[in-house]
Amino acid sequence: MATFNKLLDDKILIRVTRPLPRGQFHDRRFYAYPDCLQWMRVEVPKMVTGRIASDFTPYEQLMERLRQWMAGEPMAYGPWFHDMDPLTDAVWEFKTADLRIFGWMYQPRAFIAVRGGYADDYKEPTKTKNYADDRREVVKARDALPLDGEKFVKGEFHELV
Amino acid sequence: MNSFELEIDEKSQVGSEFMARVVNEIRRAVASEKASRKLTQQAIADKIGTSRAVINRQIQGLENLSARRIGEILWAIGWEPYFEARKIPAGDNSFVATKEIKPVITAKSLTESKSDEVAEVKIRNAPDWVKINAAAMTTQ
Repeated sequence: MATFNKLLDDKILIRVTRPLPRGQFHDRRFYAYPDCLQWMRVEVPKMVTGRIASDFTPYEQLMERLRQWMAGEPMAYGPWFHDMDPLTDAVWEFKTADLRIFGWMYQPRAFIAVRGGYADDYKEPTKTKNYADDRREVVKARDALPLDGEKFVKGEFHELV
Repeated sequence: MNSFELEIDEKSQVGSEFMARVVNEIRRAVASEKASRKLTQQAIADKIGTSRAVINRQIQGLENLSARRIGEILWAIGWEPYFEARKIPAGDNSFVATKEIKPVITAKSLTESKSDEVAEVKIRNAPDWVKINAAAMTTQ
């Protein structure tokens, strides 16, 4: 078992940041598993916007949502960030128009991203993924994480986000 | 401690952040009307002639929001947009060439009220050059 900082030192988890505009400061924290970070920095930039005609590419959507998250701006419960059913799993979904990122709240205002997907892949007629699989993978990854102490927090949206 | 910084180019950052501010302003205006007179997204959609799902996605900033649709949504709730562009003072920004023109968007009451209804939106840590205002529609 290891402390959270040890997991970061060992690169089992990686803190993800982005530059914030002048006058904005880092508030909420965002961590990712290496595979998820790789997906965000390599795969997402190749994607094009899907059936929801967004003004922005998936990578631009991701970066803007991360800015809102990291700068501590209000997050819209549901369309931007929400806990998934069943709530007892304490798995959360971080969303943009074209992206879905699944993970959990390690502490209030600290999200750990496990995996991500392209929104259209979860919808008919091009459905190739389902949310239940991602939710189960998050729980599986969390259970396997050799972290000392409480691995996640539960609570209401306004308490955790 | 291990960390990784994702990068974004200035053009993308400016565009997406500006649209986020516009969406925030629309959401604030819609929330205000919802609180004061229980206005629904369905009512907005009916007035504009589109579906509730489209309005929901646009208000949440998920779907393309044209300047025309910004005007239509605000009209549907009794508000209106106000837009002006202004030049950034030299050295007064962090990521845009100062020679470019900066947009400023506000939404204001459809009435000419000069009352205290006008309130500047408090956008946390907003750059100095951004000013987004909104005024609630007065009912007199």
